[in-house]
Amino acid sequence: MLETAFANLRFGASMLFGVPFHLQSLDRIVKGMQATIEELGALGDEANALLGGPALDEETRYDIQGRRFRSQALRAARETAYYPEVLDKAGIDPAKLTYKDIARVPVTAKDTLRDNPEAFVRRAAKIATRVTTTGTTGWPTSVYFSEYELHVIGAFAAFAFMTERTVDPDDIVQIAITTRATLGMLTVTRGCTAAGAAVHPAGMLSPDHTLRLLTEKHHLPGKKPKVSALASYPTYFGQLVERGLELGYGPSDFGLEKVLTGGELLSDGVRHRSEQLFGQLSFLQNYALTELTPMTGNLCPDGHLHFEPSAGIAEVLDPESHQPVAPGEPGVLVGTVLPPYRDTTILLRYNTEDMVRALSGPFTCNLRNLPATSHLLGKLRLSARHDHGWTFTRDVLEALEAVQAVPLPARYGFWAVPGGVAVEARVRSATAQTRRALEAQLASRCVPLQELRLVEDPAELHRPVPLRCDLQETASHRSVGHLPAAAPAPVGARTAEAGAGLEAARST
Amino acid sequence: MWEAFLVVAGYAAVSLLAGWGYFRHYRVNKPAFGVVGLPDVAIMLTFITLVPYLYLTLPLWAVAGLLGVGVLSTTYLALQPLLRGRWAAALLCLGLVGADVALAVGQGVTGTAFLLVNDTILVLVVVGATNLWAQSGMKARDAAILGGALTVYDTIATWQLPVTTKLLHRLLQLPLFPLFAWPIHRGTIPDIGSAGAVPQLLSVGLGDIVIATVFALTMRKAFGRPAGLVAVAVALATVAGALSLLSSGLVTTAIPVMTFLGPLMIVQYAYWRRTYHRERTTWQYLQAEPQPRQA
Repeated sequence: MLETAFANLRFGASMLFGVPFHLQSLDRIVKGMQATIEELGALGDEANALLGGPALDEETRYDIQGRRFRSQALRAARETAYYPEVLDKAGIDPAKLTYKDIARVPVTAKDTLRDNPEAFVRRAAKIATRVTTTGTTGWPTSVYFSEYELHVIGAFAAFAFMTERTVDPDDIVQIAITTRATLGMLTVTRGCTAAGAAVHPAGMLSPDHTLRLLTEKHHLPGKKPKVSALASYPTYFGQLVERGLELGYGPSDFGLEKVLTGGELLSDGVRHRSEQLFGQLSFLQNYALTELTPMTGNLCPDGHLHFEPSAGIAEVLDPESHQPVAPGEPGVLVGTVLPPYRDTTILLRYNTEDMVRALSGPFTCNLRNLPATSHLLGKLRLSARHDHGWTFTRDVLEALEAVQAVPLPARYGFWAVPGGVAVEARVRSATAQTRRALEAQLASRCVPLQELRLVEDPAELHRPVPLRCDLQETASHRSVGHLPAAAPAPVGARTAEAGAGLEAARST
Repeated sequence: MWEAFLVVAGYAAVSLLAGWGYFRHYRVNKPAFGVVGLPDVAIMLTFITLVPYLYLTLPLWAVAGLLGVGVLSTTYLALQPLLRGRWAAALLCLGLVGADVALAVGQGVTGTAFLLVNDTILVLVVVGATNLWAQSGMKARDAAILGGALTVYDTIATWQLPVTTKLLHRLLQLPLFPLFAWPIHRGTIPDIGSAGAVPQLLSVGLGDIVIATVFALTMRKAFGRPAGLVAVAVALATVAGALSLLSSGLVTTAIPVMTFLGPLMIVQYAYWRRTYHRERTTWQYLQAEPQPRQA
């Protein structure tokens, strides 16, 4: 206990003064938390506050963030290839930056990082790993990390999973995301194992294979009899729901209790429709971007994304002018990860191209002391700006996936046309009833629909929104023959042949 | 003679039983995470070994300050769940310590009013310290190891080295001294602070009662009520035995209680461990014996 207390003091010094984390202290805290859960059954109520630090008033927050940003900008100016010229052109002396001057620092474009990632790497960095994004919306972006950063990321994942009780020691967790998602795999694996759960990093296999893994009975000491938690992208989860219902599975076939999602938008439609297959589930979402890790957005019960101020600065800016937007207005999320969290790839005011709405407090949720934005609206590149304002991916997705006639995951596209938007969507059957249902849903989401095109073959979509579920991995055909027997299909249900469920992995 | 025995043994019993009752009904305000383990026991042993030398070296006012800080923090810890308010608990702590100091200055540290207040404060210290350790997951194994190690330390420090005697003489000049004590009305001892003499005191160390109590609590948690009650009974019998030898005059030198209690703790632990094969965790204990009331 005393060792943990000293480690916590050292951790607090890093949070308060921005000095590098002491990695052994982080490990000590993780061990202390694990020992507490094992001995006492749960952490104390103040665990989150102890690790997150005291609630900061605005002035103190600006002061701390201003100092840390200045420190990061100095590193960027002195040690990266990209920033010296940029800061010089903007007439900025990084040694004299205050919080108010942050707005003068030019926003770093996503394309700039993607085209030349090594220009953002510090010369003094000890590079350990290159991590790439999944590249669903274009060529993957590379970000370099040091061993120190990976250790910190893993430790913070462990803190989060244990303080928020994301999983319990008797859970069996299956990770069904692409194995190329290095940081996603790291954080979920580290977080779950720290919390005492058993983890199976299965990858994103065919839905048939994954469904069979989810129905498998286990006899592991101290663990639930079936997979109880699934980490998955929303679109892949939608595929599981769709395929599972086709195959005739039902809630009694599974032991699934919770789904950890991220990387894409999760619609209410998928959540509700999944009850037919899995029964009641709890969904845990957060916002994490490779480029900004470990600065993450935590989703509160009120649907806000809250950002820990010591980890980074989150701004909501107009996509064109890069000026702050008024509360309630949409803008791009621009983030800066602060020291001591990042020391290898330095990004100042990085444009995530994720659209959110700016919010002003006061908030009443359990994360009310942390600055927040709305939940994600969608990618800027996939959003449509038209005469009536904006239509975002979330608006269209929520409308489509609420309709049973749209197979999961929704495959669709939308773009601006004079007077509003045109929407195309794959449906089971392009009937008048389906059309009316979709029109009603889109209207309820205030989508100014001008054209609606329905197709039954997704290959006929003109401009489909890319989906992460299309990044599937292969398993050998022989292994499918050794899978446990599938659930018996009820009379009338369509069944798939054992080998037909496998699909070749496609990566964009 | 028996008055002193009854008062001191009575306070020792009250401390043990108060700690026991508190453990069942109240939760101390402990850190959100962190469990008392063997490294902490090692730190405690180091502290116990070095603190006497520190107390003998520092000026009296510094020693008094350290005692005051220790007493205030542990009594506050014990009182806060009872009084359900930070200010109420803080005021009561300050009041008790203030009364202790005032009586020590006014009456001297052998006055009965002072000893009553001081002994009462020590009961709260026992309750606070032992519940903090026991509720923070201290295992019965670790308490037994601590007891065993203190057997060696206490024997050497009391019978082989002069440190315990010198320390007692020093601390007996100060308020908040860590002894449950009562005048024995038999002879006098030199008053270190003056040229005169003061009544002799029958006493048992705070540390001995703390170790006995925390062992009883951890045994209760680990192996159930019978094991805890046996630990209480053995501790009380050992303390009473030592006190009766001193109060009757059969023994006139200091008796290191842990020399006898420590091995008994180890024997008890070995017996119950052999019977049940493993200790319960705090969570398992609370599942099996839910607390009647949460603080």
